Amino acid sequence: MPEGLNLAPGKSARASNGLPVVLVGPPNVGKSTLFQALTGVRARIVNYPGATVDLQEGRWVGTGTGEGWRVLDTPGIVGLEPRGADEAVTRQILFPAGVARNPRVVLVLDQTQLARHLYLAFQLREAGLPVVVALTMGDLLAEQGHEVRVADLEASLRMPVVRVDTGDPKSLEVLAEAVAALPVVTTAPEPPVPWDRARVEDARQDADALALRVLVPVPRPDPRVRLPLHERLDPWLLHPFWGFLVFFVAMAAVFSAVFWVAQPAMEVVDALVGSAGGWLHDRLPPGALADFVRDGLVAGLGSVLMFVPQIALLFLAMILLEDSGYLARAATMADRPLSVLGLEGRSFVPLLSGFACAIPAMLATRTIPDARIRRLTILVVPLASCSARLPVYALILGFLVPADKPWLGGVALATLYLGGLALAALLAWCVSRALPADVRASVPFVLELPVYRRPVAKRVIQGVLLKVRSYLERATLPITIVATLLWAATYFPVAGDDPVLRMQGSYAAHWGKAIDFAFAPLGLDWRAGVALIAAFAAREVFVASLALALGVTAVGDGLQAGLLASMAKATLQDGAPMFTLASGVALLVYFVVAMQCASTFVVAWRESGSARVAWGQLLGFNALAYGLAALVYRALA
Amino acid sequence: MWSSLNLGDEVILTDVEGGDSRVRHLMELGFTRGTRVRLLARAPFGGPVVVEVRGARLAIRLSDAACLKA
Repeated sequence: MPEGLNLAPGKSARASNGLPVVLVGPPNVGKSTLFQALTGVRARIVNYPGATVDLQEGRWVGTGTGEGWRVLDTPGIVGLEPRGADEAVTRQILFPAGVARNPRVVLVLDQTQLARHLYLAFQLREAGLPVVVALTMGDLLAEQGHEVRVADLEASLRMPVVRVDTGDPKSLEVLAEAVAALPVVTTAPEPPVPWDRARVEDARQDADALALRVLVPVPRPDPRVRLPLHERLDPWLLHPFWGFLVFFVAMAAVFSAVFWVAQPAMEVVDALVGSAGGWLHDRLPPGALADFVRDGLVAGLGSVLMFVPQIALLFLAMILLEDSGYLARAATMADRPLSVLGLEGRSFVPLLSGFACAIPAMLATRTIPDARIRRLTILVVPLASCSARLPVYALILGFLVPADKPWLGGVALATLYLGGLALAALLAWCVSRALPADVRASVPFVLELPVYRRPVAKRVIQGVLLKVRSYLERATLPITIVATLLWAATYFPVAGDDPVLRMQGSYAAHWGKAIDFAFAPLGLDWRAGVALIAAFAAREVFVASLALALGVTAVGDGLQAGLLASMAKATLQDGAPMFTLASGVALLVYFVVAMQCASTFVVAWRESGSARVAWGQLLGFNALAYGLAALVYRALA
Repeated sequence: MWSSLNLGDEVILTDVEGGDSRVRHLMELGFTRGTRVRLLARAPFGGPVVVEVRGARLAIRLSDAACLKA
């Protein structure tokens, strides 16, 4: 998959002017819907240097030019002066450096928002780009009893204007003809100088006047005077009681989808990967190669595929909420408490998903337009206790909590979850305070609340598939490599069939022994240490690795009982028991705070576009976890 | 100002105050002098207000809404 965006003339140079046709427009105008209608399923995600948003590129066929044109969807903008990293990308695409031509632009405008959106048309006109204006939402405008006089708008803007309806292929053909007829602008593209206040105000007034002139009343199909749905619903959906009730139900649904509904699907993936690995293993000569294929390569791929059900379900829920219009209302509800922490309303769903798994959660931050807030959200997401920590919590609490006081385990578990959340809040607060005040306050937080609409099944499914594909393309290789390396570290150099001997004689065990002293402040020795190292493949691996390190060979249901018995017997070098209340709690604290998931590391790097965030989590959270665990051990021992 | 308005009330903006880039962004979004702005809803606990401006519904934080004078 290409890292950069190819702006050089491609093989369809003749047809597409060498540059892709660029779809530009304000947020929520139906730009992506139009893109999907033009390109169908032939779209793919392209990376753009410095951008972490999904940029979709596709081929616009049905243009009467054979192979069609490349067409690129861009992050929504209000004006040409960028407000964040993503809007800066749109600007870079509109004014590519080092190319002596201008890309052809389809400016997508919502007819019901004409007065506001014409502003962008004025800016593009000044920039001298070849632009076709595509008007969407004609059905809504008709419902409101108006129509746009296209010829007047064309004459005033001096740009071709086309009404498009994604359900009507004819209108898309007309759009294609208009794009084909655009003049070729061969001057080097040049971004316009930013407008000052007076200029902005003038343009706004002109836009108002023009919108007023071109909008004409038409007979309504439904003459009954009725308040639009949003005016009736919004006061309720933002109500201090009813609003929270709906918010709670919607978020509970999202959480259940990721936490519980995904579970059976993940078990199926796990079983399939397991049997595929076993099948290959049996067909290879016994030895390191067969073990590598089963436990390294296929298991590594499995740890990529494992997250697909969660990602698919989270995005299914999110796209349904977003397309229906509710997600923006939910974000409005959640904004106030999150704004105190330097986050915003749209950080809520990712943080919530983080309690299931950090990986889909980080992918979900793409809905946050401000790159700074998106990075901050990604930074704190791993502090939400994900479901992979649950088996570890269960094991250690099972060891610590007396059988006659099960309620104590429940309280302890809740404390662990709340502790992680509190730490996430504290960290977000500290990091956002560290930014200079003028940076924080320069861009207003504005969320456009779209009209309520019924989600379209085809668009929802395409959206989910695109997210899953984008994840697989970005994450498969790095996660598999890291998982395979971790496998090798716990496998080599000892040959033989006995997994206990192999584990105890592995490189990971050697490293664990070499830094044995490092585990002493936690009241542990290298055997717990090697399990901690192995847990970087996935946290729940800790349980199985600890069993191997302690010499427990039981599998399945017997594992837990055998492991608990071995933990009770395990002693440190001086003969004192290793697993005590102090070391157990220290281990719990470590797991709450530590970022010990190689897949999360990879995805955090990819999604934040920042090595600092990923390394900061890996080194910072682990150092903090270690320090806190050592403090707790010392206090309790 | 926004705390004293009732839901459904409409005001006409007389000025947009604040730092230069914030003001320009607010103006680009449609908040210019003479614009009618209607209060549609309020998020609880001092959360954003939802206003209608030029036919769009925007949720905007109180700290940003404070820049809008009527």
